[in-house]
Amino acid sequence: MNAIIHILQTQSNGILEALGQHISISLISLFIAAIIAIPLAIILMTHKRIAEIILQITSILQTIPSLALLGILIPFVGIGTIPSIIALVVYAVMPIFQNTYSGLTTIDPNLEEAAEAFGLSRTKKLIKFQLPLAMPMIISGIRIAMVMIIGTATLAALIGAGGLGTYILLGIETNNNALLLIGAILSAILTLIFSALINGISKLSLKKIGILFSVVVVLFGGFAGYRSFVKPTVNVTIAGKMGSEPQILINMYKELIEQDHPNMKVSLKPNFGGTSFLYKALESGSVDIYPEFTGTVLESLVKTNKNVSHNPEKTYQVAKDLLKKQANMEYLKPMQYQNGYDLAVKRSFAKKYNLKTISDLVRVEHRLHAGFDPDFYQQSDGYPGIKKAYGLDLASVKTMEPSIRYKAIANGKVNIVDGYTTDPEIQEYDLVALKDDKNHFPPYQGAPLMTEKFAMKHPEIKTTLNKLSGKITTADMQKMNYLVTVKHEKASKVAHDYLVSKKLLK
Amino acid sequence: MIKFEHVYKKYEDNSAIEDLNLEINDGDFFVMVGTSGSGKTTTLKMINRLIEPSSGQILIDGKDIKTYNLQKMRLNMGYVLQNIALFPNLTIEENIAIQPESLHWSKDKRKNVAWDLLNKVGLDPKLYAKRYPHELSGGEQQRVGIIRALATSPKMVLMDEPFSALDPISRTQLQDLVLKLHRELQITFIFVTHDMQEAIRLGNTIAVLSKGKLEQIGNRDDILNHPKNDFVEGFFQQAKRGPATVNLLLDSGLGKETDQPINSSLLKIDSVNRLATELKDNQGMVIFKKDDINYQLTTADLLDYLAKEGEQ
Repeated sequence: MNAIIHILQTQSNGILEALGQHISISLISLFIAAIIAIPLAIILMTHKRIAEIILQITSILQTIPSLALLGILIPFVGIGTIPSIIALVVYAVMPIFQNTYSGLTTIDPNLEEAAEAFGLSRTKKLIKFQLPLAMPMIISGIRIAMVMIIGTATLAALIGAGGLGTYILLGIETNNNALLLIGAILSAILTLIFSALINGISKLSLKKIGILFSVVVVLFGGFAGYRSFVKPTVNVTIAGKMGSEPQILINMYKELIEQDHPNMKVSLKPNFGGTSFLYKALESGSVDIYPEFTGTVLESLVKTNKNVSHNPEKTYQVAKDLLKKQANMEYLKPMQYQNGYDLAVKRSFAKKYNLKTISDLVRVEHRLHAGFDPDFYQQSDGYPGIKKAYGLDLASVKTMEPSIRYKAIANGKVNIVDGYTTDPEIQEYDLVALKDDKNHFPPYQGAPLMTEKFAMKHPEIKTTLNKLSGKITTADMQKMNYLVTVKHEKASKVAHDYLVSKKLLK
Repeated sequence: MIKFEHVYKKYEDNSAIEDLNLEINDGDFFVMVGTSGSGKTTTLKMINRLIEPSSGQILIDGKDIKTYNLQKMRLNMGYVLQNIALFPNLTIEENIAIQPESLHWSKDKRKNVAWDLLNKVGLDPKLYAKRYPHELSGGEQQRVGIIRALATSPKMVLMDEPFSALDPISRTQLQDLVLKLHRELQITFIFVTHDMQEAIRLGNTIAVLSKGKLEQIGNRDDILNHPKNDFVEGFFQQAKRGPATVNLLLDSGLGKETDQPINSSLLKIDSVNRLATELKDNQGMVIFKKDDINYQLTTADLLDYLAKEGEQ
């Protein structure tokens, strides 16, 4: 509970922004779905057979898992807000269409006969009794759609559209229940509030609903128009993967670029998603820059057939050349810190047995009980590789979720864990990362990645971002991650303080 | 004038109407009576083209109804349904004004018409205009249903068994009401019923239908006293025999002719029970029309008759 209050106090701006994103994505989707579904039902109310075909199609669409739908859409519309809205609209069309259609077609046939005999036109019939009598059904369709949309919109975070899902995903990823609860509870509250609002709207007359509708359209349109009018000359979009470290980095990029180039406006998309999402976004142009690790480039973004040396400089050079050759990407110079795999033990344990390097572990291997991430346990450059390279054979190994293993070592359930060199937990739980003295782990250095096209168009951005090359040590990064993840400081503030302390900001 | 010329209506394997020929004069109170499946409702609905004939022609004022603009034609025809079918989301006033609104009458004019008509059928507009249909009794609802059909002052009003769902008291009251309205407005009323008592009580011209064919068409006397065939005779026998009627009282020498104006729509075929109600409503003396002569009956006459009945 205290954690929740603390986060609410320190991150209220971010939460409000996510809430705003969530509401606007949901409302826009609901609005578009209603605009498609209601007129469609009105048109098809007299064409029973076509209506039934449409009902079939929409219910099939409904059965596609939302994640799959998001995935299917990426090649066509990229990532971010637009595919999220498309997916949500696809889901919401069905309940609205179905309810509107059955509302309109289950009206007492005597009333239809009377209206027909009175010579009322199609429009007159709709306004005078069909829509008013179908209204309760239509409203309940809209309400069902809205509940679904607000729930499903949490998945939008996966493809970088933001919203409350960001907190849920972040909470799951970092095992932070407070964040998860904030995301989940806020989206539940949102559902209740909107449900009540829709209830209120349903009590208004058709005329008032029309007026309300036009006011909302004018406001939205005016806002969008204003936004596009005051847009500065150059817009740069920088995204980052899940977690605090990319968030800190992209905030640094933003500050530096906006300081050096006042005509540029940088928009950030933190917690944008996984590697392939981000890389595709970069290719499609919906993102201009994002920080990527040299190791990840070699592992999953380019094709390599030879074994690359584990020397950091060489790794960077190979990654840069292959990206240019294979994908027309420009990979700027990396920062100093390494965020590769490491093995960590408690400081007291290291002192007791005088452990400094992984080689030192062999002496005490019969005392070592490990908690490893399942990936690390299986991958060739993980535990199997270590075993071979150092001749290390641990007494016992348990696999556990990444977030849990640090708790396990803190509680003394295990005494050695794998991790990343910049993990804030190293500081939080007073651990020591042992030196990889045989250079077994591939190096993971962060550097800004952009398309060649973008780099040619804005060479000045390259110059600006290269100011960070060789800066930020592993210790710096660890500390900053600690401040953001554990102390809940804002990534933008931590980034700003660092830049000021290194005199990179005037 | 409406004219049916060799009209047929066939459904997939049976025919609903076979070679129907008839004429309905302007200003007539035309009743079509028959059992279910006789084709009476089909015939009615062919006039406003809710049902299209399979062959043959229907003419209004000498022109085929297909040549009229359908919407305009219907806007100038009243229609009363068996199930009343008031729009539940509209007030009584809005229900009455639904055709006038489609004709773009001004708001004031629509309101005036609705209020006049409500007054005419004994529903105080101040109380009823803003109410919703579900707040009214069945009889009150059908009054509204009837005046809704009259709102545009149409040339003709079609009524499809409008009273069959009502209780006997409301039914009698509404029968009186349509007779009164017909007298006042001089509009063509085309009325469908399966109840021969109702047919005889209301119709100036009565068409008897059976299994899609016209059995006989004529006035009350023709039908009752000169049935064309066994079917018609059989169908109306019950109406003739029935319970004791006003006619019986007159035939037994009770009542007398009078020059005073009528105060009741009592008919010679009405039952004695109905006479009793009318007497109560009219301070013991009912004056009504029979064969163009005004007769009066008093409570004393009724008691006389009942005394004699008791002796027999």
